[in-house]
Amino acid sequence: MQATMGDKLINGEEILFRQIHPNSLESGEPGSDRFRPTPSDKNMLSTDRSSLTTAAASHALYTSTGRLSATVFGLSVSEFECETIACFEDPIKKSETEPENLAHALADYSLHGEKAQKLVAKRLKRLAVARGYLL
Amino acid sequence: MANDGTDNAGGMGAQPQIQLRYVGERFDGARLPLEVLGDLPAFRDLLAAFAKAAYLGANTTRLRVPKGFDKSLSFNLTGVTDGSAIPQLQWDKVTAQSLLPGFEDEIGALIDGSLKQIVTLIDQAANGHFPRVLPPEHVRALNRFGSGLRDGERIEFLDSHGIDGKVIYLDNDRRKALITKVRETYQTRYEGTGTLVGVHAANDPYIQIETEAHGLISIYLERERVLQEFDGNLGTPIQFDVEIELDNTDHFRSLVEVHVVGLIDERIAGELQRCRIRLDEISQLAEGWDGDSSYAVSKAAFASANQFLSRRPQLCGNYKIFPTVAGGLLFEFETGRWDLSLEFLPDGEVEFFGIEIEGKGEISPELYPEVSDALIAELDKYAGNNGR
Repeated sequence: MQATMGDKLINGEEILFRQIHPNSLESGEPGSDRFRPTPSDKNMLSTDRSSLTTAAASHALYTSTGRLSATVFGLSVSEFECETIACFEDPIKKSETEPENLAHALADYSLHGEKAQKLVAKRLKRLAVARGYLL
Repeated sequence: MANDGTDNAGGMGAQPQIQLRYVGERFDGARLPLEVLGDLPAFRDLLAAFAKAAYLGANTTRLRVPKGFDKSLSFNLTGVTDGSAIPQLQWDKVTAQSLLPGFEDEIGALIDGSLKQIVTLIDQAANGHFPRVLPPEHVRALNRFGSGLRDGERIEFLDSHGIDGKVIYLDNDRRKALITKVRETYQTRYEGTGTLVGVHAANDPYIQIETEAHGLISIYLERERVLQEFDGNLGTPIQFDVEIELDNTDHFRSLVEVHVVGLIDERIAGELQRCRIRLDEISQLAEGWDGDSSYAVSKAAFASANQFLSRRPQLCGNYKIFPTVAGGLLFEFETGRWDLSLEFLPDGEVEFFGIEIEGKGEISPELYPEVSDALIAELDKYAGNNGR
């Protein structure tokens, strides 16, 4: 169960990890749709904070529930901010379906409409690819 | 003047006014692509066909029009003005005077009357009213007029007002409706890829291409070309750009003209195959492939994506293809200074968008109901020469 969204992340240099499904990776490049929320995400993109976990630990936790991730990309809090996307703490408490994840954070895309989110996601993907694989 | 043509008809002795306005992004800035220039002689022929019929109708004792009548209906293209593009067509009255002295006013009036008949015909067709039959000369010209238009483009008859009070125009839907109502078939441009399945070098040499949308199409070519270019390449991908005749249910009837036909470069064929294999892999994904809110990619999305691959195979080497959790497909690729995306939605619609790689330019997502000419034209604007 997800707790109420917490404080805004203020360290612009902090990297937020993003898991990439194997089918969303071709020739080492992720699809830009992985850098925007899906309709069921309600404008909030799930990430994990580098100040509280590592890319490897984030990947291990994510895949421990049976979900697939081929690799981990990352974006800094300030890179999100440049696109008018604020990021917030969102620690997850252990539940029947999900393990505890204190490093969980959300990137809030709600200031952008659906069309604008697609363009933002393309720009963020380019930044993430430039940073490279973090796993 | 309501529903019967132009307001600027002019009277006896006035210079007939013909104002065609090409509307569509391809025509912005007074551009008139060469492939639509053929519309103008076709329009002139259509006008001449109506004028001849009107003359003979008014002169029942005559079996044919006077010598020089056809040439007296000559027009000059004196320029193209902005708006999107308005070709300036001017009746060559001097020639008419020299060919049929003293007859030029009557010719001018016939042109006016014929123009009214043409716009009325198109306006009535737009409202579901069709002539039972048109003479072959009219149909031939009508079949050529507007054949270079792409989906979303139109030719407006300036200063005309239809039954609905709006300017009368011809677009692909109206052309198709009109032509197939007055005859069983219509012509259209068909661009895509297929597979070479037959090479016949004996009498009347031809090749056969298996196409996605219209099945087997035979293309007659010079024997030398059949032997040198196509013989020994069965099963190889082919790219083509042809004019075809379809019936009013869009079934292939015949090949009218070949603009381009050729084997696809081995490298491009390999990339095309890579893209098809990637699509095939993605088609194996079942519902829930990435959690509860992820859906298998729909057949409509695959159909649109495959159609797109056929339209621009030269870009296949650039495409990265991804499934989306909504049950669609995402194509992403860089070309020139743009990072482009085509998202094939679960219902087969396509959204095109992109960003400039170095600059701040954006192509805001635009939705297209299918892989239409309008979508391909928009893509070509950004993909440049690599797109074709």
